[in-house]
Amino acid sequence: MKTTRQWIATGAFALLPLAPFTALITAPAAQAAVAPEALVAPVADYKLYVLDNLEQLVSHTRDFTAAIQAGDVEKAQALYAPTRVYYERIEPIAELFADLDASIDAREDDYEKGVADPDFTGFHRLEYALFHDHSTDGMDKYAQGLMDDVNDLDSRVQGLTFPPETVVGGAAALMEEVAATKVSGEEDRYSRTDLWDFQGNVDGAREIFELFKPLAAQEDAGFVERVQTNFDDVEETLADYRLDADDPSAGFESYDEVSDADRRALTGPVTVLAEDLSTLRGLLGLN
Amino acid sequence: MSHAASVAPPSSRALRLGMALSFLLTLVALGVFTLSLRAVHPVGDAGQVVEVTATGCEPNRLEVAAGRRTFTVVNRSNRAIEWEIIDGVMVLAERENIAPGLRQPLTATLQAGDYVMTCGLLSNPRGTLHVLAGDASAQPAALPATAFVGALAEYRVYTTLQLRRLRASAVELRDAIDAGDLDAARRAYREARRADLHLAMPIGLYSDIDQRLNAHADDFERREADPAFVGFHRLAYGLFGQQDTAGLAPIAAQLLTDVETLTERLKHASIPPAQLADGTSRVLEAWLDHHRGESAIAGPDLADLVALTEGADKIVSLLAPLLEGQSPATLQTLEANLSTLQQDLPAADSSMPAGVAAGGLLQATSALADSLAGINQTLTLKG
Amino acid sequence: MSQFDRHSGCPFHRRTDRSQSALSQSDTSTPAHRERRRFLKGAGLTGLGLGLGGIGLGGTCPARALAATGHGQDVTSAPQEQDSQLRYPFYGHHQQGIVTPRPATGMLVAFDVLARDRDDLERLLKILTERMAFLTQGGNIPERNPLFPPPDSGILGPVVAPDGLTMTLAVGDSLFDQRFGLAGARPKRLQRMEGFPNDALDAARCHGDLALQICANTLDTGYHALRDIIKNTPGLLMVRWKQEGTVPLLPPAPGDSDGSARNFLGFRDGSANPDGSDDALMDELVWVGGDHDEPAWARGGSYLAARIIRNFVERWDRTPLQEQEMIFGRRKMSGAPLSKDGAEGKEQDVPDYTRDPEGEITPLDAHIRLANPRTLATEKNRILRRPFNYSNGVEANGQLDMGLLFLCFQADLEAGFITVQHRLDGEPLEEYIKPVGGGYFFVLPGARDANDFLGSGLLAASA
Repeated sequence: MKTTRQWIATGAFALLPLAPFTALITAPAAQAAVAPEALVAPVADYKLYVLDNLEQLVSHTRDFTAAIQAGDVEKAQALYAPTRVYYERIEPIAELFADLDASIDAREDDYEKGVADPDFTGFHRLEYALFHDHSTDGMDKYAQGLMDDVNDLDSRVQGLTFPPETVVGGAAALMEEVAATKVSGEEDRYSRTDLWDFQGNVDGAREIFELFKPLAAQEDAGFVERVQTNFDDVEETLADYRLDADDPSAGFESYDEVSDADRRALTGPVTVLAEDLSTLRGLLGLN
Repeated sequence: MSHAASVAPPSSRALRLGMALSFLLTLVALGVFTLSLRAVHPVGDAGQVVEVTATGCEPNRLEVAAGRRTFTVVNRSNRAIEWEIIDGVMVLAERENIAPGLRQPLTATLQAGDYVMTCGLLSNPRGTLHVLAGDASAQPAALPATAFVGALAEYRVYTTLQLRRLRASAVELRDAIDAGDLDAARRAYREARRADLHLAMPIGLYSDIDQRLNAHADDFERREADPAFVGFHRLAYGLFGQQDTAGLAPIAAQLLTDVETLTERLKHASIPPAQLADGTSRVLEAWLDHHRGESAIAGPDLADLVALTEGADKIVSLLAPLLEGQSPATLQTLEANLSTLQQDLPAADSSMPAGVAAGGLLQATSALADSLAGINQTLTLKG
Repeated sequence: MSQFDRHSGCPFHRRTDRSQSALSQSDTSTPAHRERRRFLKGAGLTGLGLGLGGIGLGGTCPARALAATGHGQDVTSAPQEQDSQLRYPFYGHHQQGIVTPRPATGMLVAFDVLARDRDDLERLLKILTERMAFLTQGGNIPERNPLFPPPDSGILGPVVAPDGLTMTLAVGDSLFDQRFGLAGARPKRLQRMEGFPNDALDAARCHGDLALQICANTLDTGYHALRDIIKNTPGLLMVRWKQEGTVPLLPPAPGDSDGSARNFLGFRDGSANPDGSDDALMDELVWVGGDHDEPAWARGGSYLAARIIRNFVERWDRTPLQEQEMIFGRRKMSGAPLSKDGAEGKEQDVPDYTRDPEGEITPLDAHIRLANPRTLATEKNRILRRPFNYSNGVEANGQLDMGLLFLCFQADLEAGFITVQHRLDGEPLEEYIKPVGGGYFFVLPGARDANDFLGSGLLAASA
């Protein structure tokens, strides 16, 4: 009979809510580690976060590159940092694609011939033109290349199954990034917009932390509290350099304005975050 | 059996019973899932014992079934030896420096074929190792539970994005119907229906919502006239059969509510990994159930199959990396079946032909459903 | 760690054992001798340690008096061995690493303190003390679930051997700013290092809130210790600069008393250093005591002057030997002071400047003559030098970036290094050297025992 199956499928597989399911899995195991299934939702939410940021990256890059192609130096300068933020937030995923990471975000130091190297492209090549040469001459192809690369990145990430280890490890990776290149102020050496990137990395790390926080808290409540406090400390110091306290989009002062005392004040919590977050994967039982 | 004898719509009592039953089944399924995740392959005993003497291996010819096999190498010679399994010129596995009088275990995963064993001194004759195919115990090793996290998370992303699309088009659909705009309503309907079918597997996990969204007129006592008949097929009947938006407003509103309920439920649910393949096979089977024996497939039904196949494509892409490690041959078959079906179908974004011949399509759909149904064994999952 | 483990590490036990073993020096390289010495050292561990526990805590090695065997007691004598089980006591009135014989490698690491208040600072000092106590005595590294980053860098393997490691903690002038309320307890002569006329100081290699001197038989042991400190103090410390260096090992030569190790200019460095085993002399010149007009908490501490002194070695190597010797005031090979007739003396010979008032033998501006004029009035300016040679790679001009990590200790920074360096201002050697970094620090008094921590007195005095 045609209608024995009344709907698309039978209802034999109703789902339990997440929590009891998790409990079912973990209870008999008598092991402290987080149930793998519990990682599914946060990993998925993280991808959604990345996709949202990519959408923003694509549209901001479109405006940024259009300004360059229109020869509008001033506008392009203004759009440089606000565009990069979306890349900096999702760096743990973006840098999975080594070719694009190089063509989008490499710095001149990565090339033997520095600025003159024909392979030096992407944001920092354009930064050099906009903030060092104050010109968009000859930048058309770099702008177009950046737009193409960002679109390529977008489509590759859409199809990417996020490895849980990379997602969870991403929080630490971002703080390592901050500790290695942001505190020193070498990332945006011409535009001096390092604080934007700094905030972007911190946002990205914090998002990961927040997503996995409930799981981490089951394992080590003190860890969660410590990480939270240090994130707050970093953000508080960063907030001192916001151009408009009430409007995040107004951005930050030049990194040159950051006092030595504040660089040190940032280094402390950043190092603790890097150290603490390096244990997040282990805490959640991931390789 | 004629349509006149169609079953009554499910009573609320039956529904409750069904829900309870499904809950129990779920518990069983989860229990099995839990066990399957835990399943550790039993550590073999000594396995095949090989004694290496001053002059060679005893026995000099071994026969084992394919799979993960343990050998125990006993050094009966008076000098330290090594023992290797060689495939052509490549060493597959080896034990070095086994002292005289000692035994060493070696475990290797072997595929069917003939291999060579080295037996102590290089001047000793080499032994042969014959590996037989087709042993049931040559199953792939169990995947660790964490292996599925990536696929399940990616599926959750897919589900979330499809739900967003479904909701957005359900809103458009409602608005178009409220405005009496038949064309816009039809466009929105097609969009919503496509997303609905992309989500067929998870929706199938909730029988009440599945019924409200996807039940056919035949499922109801008074068919199209039955007040309980709602959802996509009811809307299609109005928009395409009656070519009118009249009277559809409450149904479109109900659809939106159901989509929101579904969204809320899926947000807090977690899909067992065994459902990825099994559930997808099931929704293809369900579609087939409606079309077996037919000679032609009508446009709307063809569009449904296109969308279901898109959903299956996503599942195959998620399971492919796992299958690749477990059984490349299984993956190859699965991908071939998917590809055959896709070639038989019109492109998703094109306009559907009024009808196509059923034969090849039914066969290809069935082949895909079958190969999906066999996947969990390869993935060491029990549904 | 039990008490006698600590005491067995006293270097002078080793010396005692060696002298008691009555073996000739030429025997020291035979395996049998090494075995025997190791055995004797073990015996000292049980035999001497029990009886002498209390004395050791005072920082006085029981066998110190016996150390003056004429063999190897000078701080700057070239290191002779690399016994990985060599262990120096950590607790005591003074910190280790000052009168301890200089091993083959050393580094100075300067830190900025990131701690935000006194509580954090106290926590930092306690962590440092605890880690230093462990690292210098050695032991097993803890195990941890492999899903986590390991607690130890693992570069020394599962068991950390003491390897002659000493760690010496000092505080810089900047630690006494407004952050921690320590201003009232500042050692009187502690100050920010000012550039001397020949200096070309690189801000990135100067000063620091804290300095840690890490010395060991091998650099790996030092790096292990540094990484352990960094790993255990996130958010509290930030490395500001570091400079490591080495001293060439010198096998004992029969019939020759120990020579000082050579620096990268090829001269013996450390000749005429005050005798580190002379307690009374050390109390006068190196350790802050009751007579030194310093806060009470500072007693037992010492001032450290650190200087990174680049040597222009290519240019030096193109300088005639005679000129090199005139610049230093010593023979290059033997290390002996210059003599009237060019006769070859010994490194230990004492030049008599009273008989050379015009500088006809030793030029008046020779390095050793300026540094130590050997007059009664300049006796109090003597300092205890403990330098290491460094090599950092290549400068942009293709010349080697090498030189001297100059470290010296004194009870009075002004009477000591600062005065000496002012005397050296304008010396001919300046053409071949360029100080590029460093700083002044005050070495905290030692931690008494496991219940104490480095800096406890400073915190108490400023509370």
